[in-house]
Amino acid sequence: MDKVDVWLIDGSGAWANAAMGCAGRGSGKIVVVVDPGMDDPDSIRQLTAVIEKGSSRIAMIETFPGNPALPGFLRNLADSVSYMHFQAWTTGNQGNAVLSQLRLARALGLEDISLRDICALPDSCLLSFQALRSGCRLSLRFLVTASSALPARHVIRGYAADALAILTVYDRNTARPAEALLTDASGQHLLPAIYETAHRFMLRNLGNQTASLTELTAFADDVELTRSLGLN
Amino acid sequence: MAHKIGVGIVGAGVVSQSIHLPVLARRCDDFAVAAIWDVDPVASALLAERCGAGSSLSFEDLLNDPQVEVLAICSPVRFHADQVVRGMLAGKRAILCEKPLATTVEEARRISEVAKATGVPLLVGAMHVFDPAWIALRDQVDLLAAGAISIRSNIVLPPNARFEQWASELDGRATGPGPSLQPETIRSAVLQVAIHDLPLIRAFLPKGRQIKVIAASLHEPFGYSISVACGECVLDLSAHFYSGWQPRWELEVASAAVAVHIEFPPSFVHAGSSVATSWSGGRATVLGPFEANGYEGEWNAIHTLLRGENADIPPVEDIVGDFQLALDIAEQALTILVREYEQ
Repeated sequence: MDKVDVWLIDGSGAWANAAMGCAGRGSGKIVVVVDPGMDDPDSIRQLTAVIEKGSSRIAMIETFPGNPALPGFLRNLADSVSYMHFQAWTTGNQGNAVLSQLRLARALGLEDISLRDICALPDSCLLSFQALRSGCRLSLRFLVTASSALPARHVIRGYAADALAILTVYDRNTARPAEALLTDASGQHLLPAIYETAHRFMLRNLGNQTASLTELTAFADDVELTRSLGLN
Repeated sequence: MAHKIGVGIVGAGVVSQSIHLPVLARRCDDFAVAAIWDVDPVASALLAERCGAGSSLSFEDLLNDPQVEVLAICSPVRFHADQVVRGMLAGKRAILCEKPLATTVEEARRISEVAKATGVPLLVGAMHVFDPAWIALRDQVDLLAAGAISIRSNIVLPPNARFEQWASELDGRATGPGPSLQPETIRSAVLQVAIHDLPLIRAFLPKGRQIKVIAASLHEPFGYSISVACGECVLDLSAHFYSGWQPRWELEVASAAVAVHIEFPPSFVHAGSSVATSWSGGRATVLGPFEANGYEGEWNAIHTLLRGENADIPPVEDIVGDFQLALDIAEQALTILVREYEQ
């Protein structure tokens, strides 16, 4: 009998197949995918079906969108945000950075994300999207810079009619909590943040933080969109 | 007593009152406002009285006034080219023209020809070019210019009238409705807002490469975003005008190994320079804020120049190139927006 309760899978390779293998090895397991990358979207959808049929649960630990500062930022983001800018500084490839940006957008409640334009160059890219947030249409821009000048990070800026919001999420190897800065008529607020990576946060809350099947399907959609961009 | 350089102000509007006259008042040991001319004689008389200057009855009078050595052209843009050219031909010692320099490339070229023929120095009131933090950053600019891969210019501003009023202590001006989100607005947004940083941005773009505007959009309440490709560099231009209190005016440039970030004060603020930060090899260097700002930098350059010393002012070819870049971006963005609105 399999005595393992939690499987940890490295998300850098063909993680969906590996997760399917683990999920099929007994009931009541939790399969944790650490930093899931751009696996084959069909395999990810297959995994969704396997999880749906069985009794195992799946959790994804994503460095940037899983940062514990995101829920607080989302709660405080003004409803009237009409424009959002996602900026990624990366030392890796642009595709992975864009995937993280899409995942961050999802974590911030953006839906129906559709690409409008792309300007892709060897070491940088600029993408325009439209999306819905709480039923309202807004413009999105993704800027990716592949540079070693700054440690990897994502900066998200939200612009509303009377407020600004800026969230900076650092890479897991940077010992800095995320910075969520909100500016409105009452002043400027730095939201509380803790020195905790997405990984530790997720593992600490594993009992109640597993991904829904909808989230897994959304991940497959995000991978599919990112792959279609053909970025470096 | 040392000679004070006589300045003639063209236009008695908010730019003269909120920008140049406060700077010239601080530099009163070196400059004297000799005369002011505006199409509205009451406006020019009132302003001239406030600063102890003469009030010219016509532009021709201002040109013929021997006390006017330098012209500061702060009139509406449609008059710039003609007034700059006439100022040069009248033998003024230097011309400071507010941005944008002209309305068409042809006008800009005409200015360039006359500048070369007369030898009269020309400055465009692009204050960020003369900002001490930008100037202090020059070594990094040279490093980055060879390999810039991304440039982000983002301008977030509360209502401009607030800053104009603080600078000039004028009576509050009616702000009126904000700009519309019609496609044509993007042209003026580029030529009046984005243009502030385009000379700086141009310093990083690969020489001799055409720019291509990939996308343009407008957003509520008023803002724009424009995506531009030039060689292997993306240019991300955006602005957001809102009713909030906090301005943020940023320019950021990165290469594979170096990045710089400059945070400028809003227009009309006379309280020191921008702050520039550069990162390279795991090390961050912060330059500024310095005591002077870009507006003072413009007049310092004129003063240095007229003392016969080397002043760091862009050559007229660069001035025309800067204007051409702005116009290119404006026209291409407009074409994209018109096409999208028609669909």
